[in-house]
Amino acid sequence: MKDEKRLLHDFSEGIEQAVSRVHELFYIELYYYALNIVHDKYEAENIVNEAFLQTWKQGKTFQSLHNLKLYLKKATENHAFNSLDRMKNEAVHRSNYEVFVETEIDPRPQIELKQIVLAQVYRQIEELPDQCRIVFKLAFLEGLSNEEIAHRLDISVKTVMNQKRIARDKLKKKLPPGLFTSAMVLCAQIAALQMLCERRPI
Amino acid sequence: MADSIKKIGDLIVKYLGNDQGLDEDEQNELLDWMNQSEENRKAFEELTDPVQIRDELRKLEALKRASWTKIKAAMDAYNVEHIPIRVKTKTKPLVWSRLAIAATALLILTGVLYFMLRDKQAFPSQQATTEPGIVTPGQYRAILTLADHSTITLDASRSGHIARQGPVEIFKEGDTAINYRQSTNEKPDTTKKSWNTLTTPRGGHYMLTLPDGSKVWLNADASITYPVSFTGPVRKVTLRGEAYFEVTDQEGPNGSPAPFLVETNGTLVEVLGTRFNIMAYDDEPVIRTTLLEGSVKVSPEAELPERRDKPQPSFILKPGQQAQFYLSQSNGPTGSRFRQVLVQTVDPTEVIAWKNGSFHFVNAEMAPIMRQIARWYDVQIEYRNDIPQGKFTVLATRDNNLPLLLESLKKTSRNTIDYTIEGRKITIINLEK
Repeated sequence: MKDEKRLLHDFSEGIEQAVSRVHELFYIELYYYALNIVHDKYEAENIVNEAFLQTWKQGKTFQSLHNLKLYLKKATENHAFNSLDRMKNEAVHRSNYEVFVETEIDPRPQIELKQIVLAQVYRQIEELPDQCRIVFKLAFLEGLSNEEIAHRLDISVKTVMNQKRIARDKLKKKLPPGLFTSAMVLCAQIAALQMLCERRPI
Repeated sequence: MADSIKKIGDLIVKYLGNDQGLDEDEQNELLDWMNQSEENRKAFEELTDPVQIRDELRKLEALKRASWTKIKAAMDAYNVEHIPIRVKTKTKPLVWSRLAIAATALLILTGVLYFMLRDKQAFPSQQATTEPGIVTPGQYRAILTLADHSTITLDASRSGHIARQGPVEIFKEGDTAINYRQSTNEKPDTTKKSWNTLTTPRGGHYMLTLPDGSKVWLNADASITYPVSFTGPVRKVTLRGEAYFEVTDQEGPNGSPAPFLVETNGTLVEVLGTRFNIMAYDDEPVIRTTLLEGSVKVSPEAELPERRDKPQPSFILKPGQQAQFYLSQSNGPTGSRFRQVLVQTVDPTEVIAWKNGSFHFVNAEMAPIMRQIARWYDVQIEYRNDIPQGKFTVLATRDNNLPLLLESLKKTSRNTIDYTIEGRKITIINLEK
């Protein structure tokens, strides 16, 4: 937990890397939280940005990442309710709001379920160590081959494979390995398809 | 209800993790839930399909990145404004002798009157030639005033050699620039200096290459006065309005480097070879000098004869820094022309966006944005219900028509403002009042 203390300290000092890291870890959860209050995607994005900036400006030192997250959630909630009040008071906003409710936000419980699942999966990926996380995202989210990742990050193919293995081991412990396996299988399938299509030597 | 959803969510995550992870009760609970409705079953399938999960995670990743870009911009803007210890250098108000104030005021007044009168004569028909009701962006337009006070309108009608000033030839290059070139066979006359002035109207801009090869980009409603050849130990020009400079190295008569001096209404910028931008409009509350490359020294009014013997406070800028001389509202009893002087780190791309053909404001106040727009589109700005107080972001090319630009400003303001255009009068309506 030395890393956590360090991160919290750097965050309170406003060091960009740390602020960015905290943002990575909590953004999705906060976004969903705001979205479920205001039911407006655009507004939800703004609300989280405001809450985040406000917390950053205060420069507080938090005891744990968990505390920081709760604080950010509270700030998000305050901004969200202010935003609701504002929207209620303004005809222009209200009409926008109704349009959003109709077209963009599906109030079914299945949506909430989706958010719960996705936020958990996302958080697990974000908690991987730096290089590991970057390699994993390039492979899984962007579908790049080992060679392409090696080239982009200026590391060896062997390092890419090592990092993927570390990601797999770490995720196995924390995250549903079934999902991880299927993700990896998917990557492998895509890679195989690509090879078939382009007849690329392995 | 919410609790049961949470429970199902956890079950799905557990199921995703490991097929054996669900005990019999849990499996039954999940199955019951799936059998409740077609939607439930579909949701389950979506959430356990790796392709769909990957697509969703991709969307979230993009959302997160967009958010970070905005937060980063806001953090940078906040740092520039609020963290003085990092780069800000505050100075005490400058103390001036009464004589200097009087002289300065007189000089400035004369200068302003001169330009006001001349501008009126030089651009009498500009508004008449533009079709009423259509506000178009600025164009390459300028007036060149020669040493004998005759003027040449720089428009599309002429190009190539346009004038001669002693041993110096003036060429017009295309429709965007003029160039000074020394005739090779004649020696420059070092005994007397002849001065030329290049002036852009509101809604105009132009480029100029000085006889030493230094380049100047002149923004709308600005003018620069310069000698037709630089022969002395220093190269000095006078600027009103905004210009971007790329100054070459040059040696003076005695072989040492000849400093390049830019005088504005109140500050003096001294450089050797470098790239920088100066904004010194009469209707701006701050004179801003921004350095992009090299090194410059900025000081107030050092050239007034009465002040020469006294050391001037001066600021040496590093690339990326901006010196801001805040003009006093009135010359009070303490007599300083400047309320305060700050040196701050800024985003240079924002400062010279105009030169590259764009408007670039991130979380900026309404009034400075509208002043730039007014100069470029040659319009007048009025406000209904006070000036909007929020921060606004404008990223647009300068060749947009005005209604398009205002429409995007309105949109980014989240409809807290509206506007009307009547001829050349723009009214910004503050809807938050």
